[in-house]
Amino acid sequence: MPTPSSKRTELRVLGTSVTLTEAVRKRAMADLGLRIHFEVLDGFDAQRQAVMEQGSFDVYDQWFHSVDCLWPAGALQAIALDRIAHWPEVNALPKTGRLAPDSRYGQGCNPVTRLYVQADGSVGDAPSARISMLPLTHNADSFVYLPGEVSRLFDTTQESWSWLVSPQCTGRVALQADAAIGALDAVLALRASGEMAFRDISNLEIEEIDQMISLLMAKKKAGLFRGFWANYADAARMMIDARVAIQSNWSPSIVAYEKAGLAYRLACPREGYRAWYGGMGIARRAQGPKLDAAYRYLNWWHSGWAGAAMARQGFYISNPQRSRAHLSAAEWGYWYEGEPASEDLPGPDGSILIRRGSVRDGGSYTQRMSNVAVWDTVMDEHNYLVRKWTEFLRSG
Amino acid sequence: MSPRASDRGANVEPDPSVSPAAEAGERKLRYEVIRNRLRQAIAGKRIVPGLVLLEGPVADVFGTSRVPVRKAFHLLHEEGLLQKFPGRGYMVAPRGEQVEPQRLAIDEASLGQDAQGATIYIPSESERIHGEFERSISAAVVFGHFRIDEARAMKHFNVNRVALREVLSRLVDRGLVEKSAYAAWRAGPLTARAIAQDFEVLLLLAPAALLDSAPKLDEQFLLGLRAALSDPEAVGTEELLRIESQIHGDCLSKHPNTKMRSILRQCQMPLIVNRTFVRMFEQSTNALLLDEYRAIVEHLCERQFALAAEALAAHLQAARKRTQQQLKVLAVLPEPQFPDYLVRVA
Repeated sequence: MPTPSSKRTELRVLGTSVTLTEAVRKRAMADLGLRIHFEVLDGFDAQRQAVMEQGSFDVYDQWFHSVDCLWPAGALQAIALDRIAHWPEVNALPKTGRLAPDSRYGQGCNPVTRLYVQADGSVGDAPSARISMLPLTHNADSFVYLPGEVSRLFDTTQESWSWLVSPQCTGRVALQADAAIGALDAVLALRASGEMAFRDISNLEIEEIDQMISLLMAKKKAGLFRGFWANYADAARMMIDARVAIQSNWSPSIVAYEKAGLAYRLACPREGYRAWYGGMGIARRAQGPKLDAAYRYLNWWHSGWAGAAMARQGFYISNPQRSRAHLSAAEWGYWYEGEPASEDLPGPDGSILIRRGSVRDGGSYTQRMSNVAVWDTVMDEHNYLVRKWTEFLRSG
Repeated sequence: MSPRASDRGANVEPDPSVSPAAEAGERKLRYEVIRNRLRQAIAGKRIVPGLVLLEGPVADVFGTSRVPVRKAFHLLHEEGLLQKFPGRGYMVAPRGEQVEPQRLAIDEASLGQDAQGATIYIPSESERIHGEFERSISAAVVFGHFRIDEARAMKHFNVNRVALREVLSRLVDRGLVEKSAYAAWRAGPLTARAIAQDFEVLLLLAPAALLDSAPKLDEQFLLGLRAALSDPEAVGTEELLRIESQIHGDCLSKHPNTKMRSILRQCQMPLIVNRTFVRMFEQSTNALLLDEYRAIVEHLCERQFALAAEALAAHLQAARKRTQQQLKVLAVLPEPQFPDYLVRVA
């Protein structure tokens, strides 16, 4: 039961539209008896604000790779695992880096490498009683395309990241704009097309960044790219209104594609997925009732309803079994088991999103999350990459 | 809120340790300084009315030649603060007022100047601009690779080419600017690789340099360092940066090998990252870092030089990891406005 003091406490959550939906906010307020304010920004801006205005939030809800920016800057406090009730239910993926023992260990910012707080105050993969962020939502991303538009160009049984940089798609391509995400899509594409080789795709060298940016700039000049987007709403507009036929994908966009009646397809690239892991951190300055409220909010995310809501926009949750009770058997079968939808399935807003008989790209949760080529990453040369990537986005 | 970070955005603050007289872009002229000093002393009634001012003795007090003193007198006379009178020199008296000339000894006291600080120090052209130049380049390299446009820099700092190149050469010596034959002066970019290379050199040379330099360090200097580190709560950002420059600079500076000292001085990248990081992002001082410094200084004070060198090596190992992490954080900084003499290299 909410205590009288918690009714007066307002929890300020800073993050992106990926997880900060109005439905989540209302439900959490009702369940927890807290006032909750969501500050929704694009990924890079949210990260910048968390680092530079550390007093502006209580809970930070974002990707794990942003730990690389927030943790050294002292923006977060360690989360005590003994205050996370369902921690034992969290599966092996964030704890070990692999969902199943034989899963491929994705390169880059595998969340386990940023999870546990170490004795020297840094973060690492050696288990401890304190963590940097609570691992929650995650997904394996690829790209989305309109088979009707590009099927003449490519063999749809051999989906490949290389399509994103193919001259055959000139004027029809869009990429995600965040250097930690979009640049990786470009890396995967250029590697798959054979235009570039990389020593380690998750940790580029200066010369590799230079070469990649100059290649991309030449392609931009030649008219390959239609645009770049920072959130899934913009991504949807690109495809619906701006004649984009192939682009980086964030799962919630499919709601808009479906509504617009687009015949889209999410790719299962033969080179593997680009994955991300989302989580929540607690502001270093949160204390007293705010801190208690923050822990209650984090625990609420593990309690089932939120995980089910996330599943309906294509995301997984770190303790899936508790969400299963909040999903129909057909929903669980489609989203987690990779089975054909046994009936029409609702999206996050309740309207039909998945038609009966559809099958999710890449199969089941285990299959998809075991086929991660690379995790969204903050590389050693991230600062250099960000500056060069920005140059590329601005170039004519 | 973190006023420090949000208020200043990515603009780099002027270094408070630089006195206004050394501010770049502002050409300080000796006669102006003398005129201002005397004007203030007269206004503050620190000079006896009627005091007779002679060029030679006044020039001695300010440590200049007579030429600027003569010009200052002339201007103060035009201003109506000095009068001519039958005799050599000028007399301190408002225009039109009847005052008896006072022929007293001319010294700091009679001119209303501080006993210690009367001598005028006008930095050379290159000294004058060095501070600002170094700061603007240090701040810029975080954001990329720049060419330094000599003509624009000369205009910006109001100096000639000789003075500008003198400063640039010193910045080359500091490892901040590069110049190869026929090529432009260039700076940056600040990369993880450049930092790793600096640490590689530091780890090889700095502990060895400390071994030879440490026995020659002044005891008072070391005790001062120890005192500065004694209360971790009291170590603020600027204090921390001062301690850092003493440990990485002064403590190694007594090594007799000038080439070695020069190579060590060139390893600036880690310091630039740390300086930018602690100034831009509000946070409590890293307790582990202070422990590392304290270990080095304690051993130095106890004259256990080998242990001090080991502690320095351990510090550098830890700093290497920290600095690489700090560099990633700098990626969130919005790009500031750069001075026009810094031209981005495509």
